Amino acid sequence: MSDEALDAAPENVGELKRLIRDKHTDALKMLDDSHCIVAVNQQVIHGDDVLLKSGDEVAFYPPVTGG
Amino acid sequence: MYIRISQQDFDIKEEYEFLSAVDNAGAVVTFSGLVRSQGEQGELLAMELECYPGMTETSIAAIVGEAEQKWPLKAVRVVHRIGRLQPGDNIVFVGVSASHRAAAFAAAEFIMDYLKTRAPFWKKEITAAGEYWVEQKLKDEQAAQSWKHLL
Repeated sequence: MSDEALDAAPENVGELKRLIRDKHTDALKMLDDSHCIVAVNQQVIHGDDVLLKSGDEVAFYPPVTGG
Repeated sequence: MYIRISQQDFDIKEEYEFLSAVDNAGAVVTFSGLVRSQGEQGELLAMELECYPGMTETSIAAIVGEAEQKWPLKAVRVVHRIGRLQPGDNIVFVGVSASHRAAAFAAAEFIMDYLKTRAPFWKKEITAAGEYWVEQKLKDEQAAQSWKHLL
């Protein structure tokens, strides 16, 4: 996994995705994949309208393959 | 419950001793998962496992918590390795002790099915021809879904 701190203050997950896409065009495919999992502060969430606040940790990751 | 994510190997005998030492334990079920020698695209040289530190532990704890709600369990131990592993190496250990075998068998399988589809781990297989990330299998998700009737 890689991580990055953002200076911007996106209101929700959808807005954060747009910010990331503007910065990293190669992230486009993963963020738009319906299998992409989103976690806010290490809890899986569903939907782009989930609100974010300053300091939130948001993760985007592919389906898991442990075990 | 005891949960450990580690680069280090685990000792099945030691884990078993913890599980069997619990008061009035009548059944201990253990599962261990190993690195196969054959990957999805040929013979494996190695496997690399990544996790999401913090979230991986809490998501396993949530899975074990669900198991403890569903079955009367005495103790649960889950160990998952990360880092670079070789064919034949241990990857994961799930051990459950209970008073009776039905709960121990069911809970061990439930925890593995959920761990495989919910806990943030990712496997990369390394072969002579190259390396690639393993994709989630439909049958693993179906196995996890099959427990829904118990909810």
